[in-house]
Amino acid sequence: MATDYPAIRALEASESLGFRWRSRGAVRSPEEWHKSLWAEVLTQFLVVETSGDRPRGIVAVYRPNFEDRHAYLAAASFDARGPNPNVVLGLGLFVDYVFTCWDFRKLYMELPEFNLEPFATGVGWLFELEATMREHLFYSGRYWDRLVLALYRDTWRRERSRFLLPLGERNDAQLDESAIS
Amino acid sequence: MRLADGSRRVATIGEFAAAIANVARLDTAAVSPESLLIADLGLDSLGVAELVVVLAERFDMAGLAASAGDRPWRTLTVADLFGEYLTGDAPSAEHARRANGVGT
Repeated sequence: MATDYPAIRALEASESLGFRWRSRGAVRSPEEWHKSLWAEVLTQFLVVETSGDRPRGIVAVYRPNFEDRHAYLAAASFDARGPNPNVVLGLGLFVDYVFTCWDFRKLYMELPEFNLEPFATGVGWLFELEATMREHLFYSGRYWDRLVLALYRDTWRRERSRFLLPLGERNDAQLDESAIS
Repeated sequence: MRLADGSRRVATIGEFAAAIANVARLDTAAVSPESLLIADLGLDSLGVAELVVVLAERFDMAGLAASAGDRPWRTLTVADLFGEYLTGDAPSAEHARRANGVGT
């Protein structure tokens, strides 16, 4: 909602998180920022815990290609302290939602290699590494690779139960597995 | 813990550690009560999320899921989580001080 915009914008410009987001440290004008928040976006949500209303992260699907049936998936945690599993669990719900609503074969994730750490153990069995652009990005005195990962529908259907809490432990509607087959 | 037939009994630390080892994709022998979830077992955000689901499903630790976003995961050990499983209480204030680097 628009009332969340100031907090999101502050996080995007913060020292601890700003360089990890798509603007990578640049601070845009309010007008440009509002446009960029929804540019090419198909759908996006804030991740909010059921025990409170504090946003913990943001998840989005953007640049959809309905002809070739793929799109790009983005996720960011607002928590700079360390791992926040609830953002991953929120992302799991979101991926379920996306594969249910649209017939995408796969969702790409483009990220600098310094953003891989929270997901690194998933490469190979959950995400496929589909492209590496060598030394593509500059940050903090050196160049970093830009990675393109892909999450395939079939892989998600096989592995999704690992990231979806049983019904009693979450308030969100469970999406029926058959709906994403 | 929930058994295959739907019944429940209290798990041993060995069974608990085995479940964590499975999430970390390690041999059970590589997991000790003192193992730190992240530094020693190599769990990342993805792995911690998977662990939260396993503990909620198999060990009825729904409270862990409810407060997962505020846990000091970097300093939690297998024994910390097993203690929470047995007592239902989150790691103590002493743990929180340790997590914050106070008194270390």
